[in-house]
Amino acid sequence: MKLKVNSAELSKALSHIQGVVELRHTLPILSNVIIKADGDNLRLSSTNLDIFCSEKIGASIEVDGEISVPAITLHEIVKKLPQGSDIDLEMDESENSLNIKSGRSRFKLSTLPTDDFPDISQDDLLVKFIMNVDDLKNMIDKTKFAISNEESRYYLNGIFFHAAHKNGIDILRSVATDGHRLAQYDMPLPQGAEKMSGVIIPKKTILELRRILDDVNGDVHIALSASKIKFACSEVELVSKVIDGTFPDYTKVIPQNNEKKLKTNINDLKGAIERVSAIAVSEDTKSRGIKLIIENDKLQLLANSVSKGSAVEEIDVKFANDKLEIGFNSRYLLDIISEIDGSDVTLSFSDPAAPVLIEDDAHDHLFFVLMPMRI
Amino acid sequence: MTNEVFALIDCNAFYVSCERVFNPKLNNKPVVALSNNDGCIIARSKEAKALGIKMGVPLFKVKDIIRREKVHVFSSNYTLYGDMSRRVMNTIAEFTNDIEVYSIDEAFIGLTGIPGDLLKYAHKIRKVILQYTGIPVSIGIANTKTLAKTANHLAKDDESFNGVCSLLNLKNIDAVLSCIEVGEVWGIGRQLSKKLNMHGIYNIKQLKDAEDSRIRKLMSINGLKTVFELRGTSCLPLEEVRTTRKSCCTSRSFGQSLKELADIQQAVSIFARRAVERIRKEQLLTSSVTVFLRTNPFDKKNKYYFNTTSIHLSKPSNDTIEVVKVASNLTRKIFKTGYAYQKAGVLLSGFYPEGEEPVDLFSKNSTIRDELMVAIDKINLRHGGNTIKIASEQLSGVWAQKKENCSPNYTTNIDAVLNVD
Repeated sequence: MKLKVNSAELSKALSHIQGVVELRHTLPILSNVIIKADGDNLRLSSTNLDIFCSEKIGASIEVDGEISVPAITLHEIVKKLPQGSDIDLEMDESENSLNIKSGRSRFKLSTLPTDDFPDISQDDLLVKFIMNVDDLKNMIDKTKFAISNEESRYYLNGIFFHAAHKNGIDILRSVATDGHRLAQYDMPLPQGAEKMSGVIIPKKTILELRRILDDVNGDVHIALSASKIKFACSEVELVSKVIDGTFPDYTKVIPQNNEKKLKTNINDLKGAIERVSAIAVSEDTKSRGIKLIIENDKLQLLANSVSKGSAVEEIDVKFANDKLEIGFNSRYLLDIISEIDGSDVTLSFSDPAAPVLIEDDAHDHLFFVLMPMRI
Repeated sequence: MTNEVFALIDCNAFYVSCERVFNPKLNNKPVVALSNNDGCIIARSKEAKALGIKMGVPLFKVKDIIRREKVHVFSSNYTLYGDMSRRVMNTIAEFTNDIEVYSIDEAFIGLTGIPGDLLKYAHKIRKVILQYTGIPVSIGIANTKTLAKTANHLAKDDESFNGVCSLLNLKNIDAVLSCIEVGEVWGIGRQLSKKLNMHGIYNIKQLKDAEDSRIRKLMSINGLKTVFELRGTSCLPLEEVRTTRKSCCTSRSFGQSLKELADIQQAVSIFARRAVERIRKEQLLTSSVTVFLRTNPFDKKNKYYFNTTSIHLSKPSNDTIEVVKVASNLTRKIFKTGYAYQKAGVLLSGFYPEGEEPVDLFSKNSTIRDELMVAIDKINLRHGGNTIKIASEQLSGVWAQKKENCSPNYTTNIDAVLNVD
């Protein structure tokens, strides 16, 4: 293998695929990137056995070939070379090494046989559809904060993507929950997605995909089965196993009859929560509780801490019900408020112990559910 | 120099003193008390100390001295020591409300504003504690808690103080402090002491006179607080209300090495139950359970194995049944066959006060289990801690600790109350 490649292009591709590489692994090949030179293209691939990521870039190839070298080391070298400089890569078969040459820099990286590189079969990905990259970004961004990190409930460690019906319309829905809050985002069901089975995409995949989506434009080609999902956009391809578990019936925890509605300006509410939270964070316990007292179109936010003191802030709201007192984890509430793009928000309450529905007044395809805290 | 005044009341060789209260024949004789499983010496009478028996030394290393000198040896009896501690603390509380119970045998009290001769007052406290409980104590008085601890050290070491030492208004305090090794300062352990020695700080005076920036680098902000306290500026107030605990650990070494998973699970079940009972008493809920296992690190014939694993509970709990189940599963996860295990433990952390825990969208709240726990606690309180157990604890007790020389529970068991002829 012998080729010349631009350092900026190689660095960008390596930044996409090296996130998948495991620092601690069982198989040595898993810390390597496979470099395959074929015709005018150079394909870089890596995997951690759960996620497979590959990217194609242009290169001037003199001799075709395939080699594997430590991914993180190669990326460290390439990103420190002058931006846009040319890099010569040449396989040295006698020494089983990859020679890297750029300007006056020379490197020799050890290699491993590429035959050991595990492959993820993509034959069974029968359901295929296309999504706009911004739509996919939204589906992820509005829900990913609610993904659970708890090992015990592994089936909540990802975003649940599935087809659903809403008001007689077919939709594609993303849902994430950690049991304390839930986020749901809907968009019209893309053509071809009608037969998709619901899949729980793991958090690691979501984070890697999201990083890649920032660097691509246009459409994302999605293909999936019950156990795998593939995202292909521009020249990047990411295939991931999905979580083998059943997402709980989240529809049962979405409040249907929360009649007590509070409407307010999102910035007023966000600012007040942020200020009051400075007191709410407890050093002794994990509690970050704040209390909301709602009465006569006024919302009072209160926090108390034995060591820090207390805080009270009042904002104007619209609330046509009897006085209501309810407690929340301030961080959970802030996480939700931060995902609302419109200028106003509606919080629908039932009683102080029941889940609250939080809706963006400007978008009916997005809502959140938050469990209160006893304070 | 602050105007505050603190005293540290520390029971002399507390565990030994507890044994002596109910067995006066032990007075003026060498006596030692052992750690759990009869492992190490953790309390010595001054007669035992004079024989060269060091604190913390494993029992087997001093077996010859013990046999030769007829040293009286006691397995630890925490039921007795805990009850005697309660009596001592209650007696101290009769003198002041400003009390911080620091450990089973130590309490800080605030003496700020108390008129008259504080030395006399301290002697009175000492006399009353001895009269009411039979436990001798030493008292150190100073302007800060750290200096009070140092004063207490002097009161214990030098009999001329007659059990009470005050560093208040002491003109030659520097001369006194330069005679005490830096390792004796409250909060300076063996490793930190070594580090300070390497930097030329050997005694308390040298530590007290060291530059702030140097101390900060060597000992962090807490070290600087200690140094300020040694200079007479109080940085550590009395903690009259116990701060919420951050973790709760129950661990024990086994009476004999265990090779079977079932035996270890049985022991871990008991540790988990005891830890949960403790946090339930403090009205806390745990959100994290950790289990650890290890073989004997001193056994040179067999390979050493240590492992630990944790789990986050989606719903914080203080339900014995739930936590025991989780701990048992975690034990299975880290257990490896072929090893002879010597110790295991359960650590609970990530506490929420009861009623402030996050409520889960998917969990079904049941008050029946809460009520069951309350009922179990009530029964165990009335009839003894082991009346109602979890079935997985079983009763074989193959792991049970060595307690070859345990004294009776004189103060908490009606059958063990002493008869005076």
